[in-house]
Amino acid sequence: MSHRCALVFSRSCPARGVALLALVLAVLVAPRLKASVTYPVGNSPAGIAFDGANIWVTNYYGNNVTKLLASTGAAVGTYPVGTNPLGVAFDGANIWVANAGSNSMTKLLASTGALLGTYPVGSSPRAVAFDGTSIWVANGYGNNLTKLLASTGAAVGTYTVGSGPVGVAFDGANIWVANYGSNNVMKLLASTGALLGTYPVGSDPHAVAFDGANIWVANYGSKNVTKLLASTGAAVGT
Amino acid sequence: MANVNDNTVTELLASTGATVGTYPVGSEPYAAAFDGGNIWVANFEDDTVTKISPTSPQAPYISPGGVVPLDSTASTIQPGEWVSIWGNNLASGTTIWNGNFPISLGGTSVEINGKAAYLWFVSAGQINLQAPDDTATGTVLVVVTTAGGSATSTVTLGQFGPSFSLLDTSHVAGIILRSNGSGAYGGGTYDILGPTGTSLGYQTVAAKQGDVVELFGVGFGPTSPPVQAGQPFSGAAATTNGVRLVIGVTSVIPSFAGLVSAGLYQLNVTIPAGLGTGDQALVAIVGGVQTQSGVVISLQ
Repeated sequence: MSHRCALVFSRSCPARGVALLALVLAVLVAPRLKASVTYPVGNSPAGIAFDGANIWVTNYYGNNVTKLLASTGAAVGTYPVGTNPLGVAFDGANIWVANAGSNSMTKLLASTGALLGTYPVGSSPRAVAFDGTSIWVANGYGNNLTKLLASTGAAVGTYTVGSGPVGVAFDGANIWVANYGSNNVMKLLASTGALLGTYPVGSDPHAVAFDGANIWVANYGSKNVTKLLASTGAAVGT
Repeated sequence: MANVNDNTVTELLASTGATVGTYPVGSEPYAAAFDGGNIWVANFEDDTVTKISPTSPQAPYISPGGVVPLDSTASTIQPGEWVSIWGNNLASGTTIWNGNFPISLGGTSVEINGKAAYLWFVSAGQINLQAPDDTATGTVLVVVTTAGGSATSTVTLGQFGPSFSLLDTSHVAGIILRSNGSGAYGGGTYDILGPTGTSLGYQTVAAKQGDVVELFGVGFGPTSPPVQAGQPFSGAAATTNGVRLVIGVTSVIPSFAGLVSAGLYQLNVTIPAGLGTGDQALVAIVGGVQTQSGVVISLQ
């Protein structure tokens, strides 16, 4: 007697189930349903941040930021900033905007949008992160980071990193920076700016985020993401 | 993750990196932020932002009479049988097992008479599972649980719940052995039984007198030795109750009937003379219970 399973073509065969997977997945190219709604903002929105109640959007060619009420999407206001605003971050009270075209940071009072100050940083600031005390700015053409005291905007220091830093994130103790031109990320001690490590990732890393335990890096060139253990920098996966 | 060239964002499970979903947004999504409940995406080229909100999972629903043997509409299943559950919102997506007999798959779990079932395939409208071993008979509860809640139905547990596996809605799943190596599949060792040609989307051949065919199905009753549900099986465990086939109006006794894989029965038959040609009605009877109606075997 033969016990082979010919059911690869049968409706009941597990193997057929596997064969059908590709078809099923093709059907599922339409995503699992999630409700989405779209709101108009300014010219070429490029950065986005949440302040606890509102969404702040940097409009790269509009040279301004748009504030939306997160609960409804209603426009609250539009506020002028520097040239070509990109990155944006909230420090608990204020909105910080990296003006890539004017090599400066703009500080706005989140509650009203009032301009509190404009502070010079390095060349082509593109990304910004808050570490609880200071604002860290990735200067894309400067190949360095600028650290500003959030309360006053005073420059605390400038720290050399890799080529083309365009993404920055804080993990609770350290600053992580994605070096677009170096295909790596660097970890700096937030309190001192000391370089703690350099870790290879994919091609053209563009953005970096922290999930509570791991660092996620978006690799623009290799179209993947790299997951690193924040505590050690060890690669978890790609 | 904002995919600037694809006009989508991708959601990854942080713990494993598994892709949860990819969602369309505006043109050239450049940045994203989370507000505690929603994802906001800046669409560089559209001058818009997209707010993506998770939909609340919907409560599962089991269709009336929706717990059936695979490929059947019968209301009786047997322990260890491959079973389908039909309904709505039975899973948040489509997930297929890895051959590991999971009791939770894609966030869905099923209990039959309070015992966890082994899940092979889950989707919004259908679950395929292997029923757990059980000594109970009669009406028992079937509970499907997802993130959206639970749905309860009933099914009859019996010693037998025979159902032929099907290639489409009527043609029995089976093969014709080719000892001379002339078959189209398995390195020439077999043909797939069906109407001669490619009407099913692939090459099939109708059986003729003298052909040795193997037919496949589920729920043909206890075996010797018994085979436990929820684990792989290979070999041959013959049914303890005789199986009789009726092809057209002719009774045929299989030379072998038994389990050859987890929950999968095989019936070996040599096609006798005088059965006619074309698609002939096929039923099997075991323990006084008959397979589903409307099944045919292709003969020439």
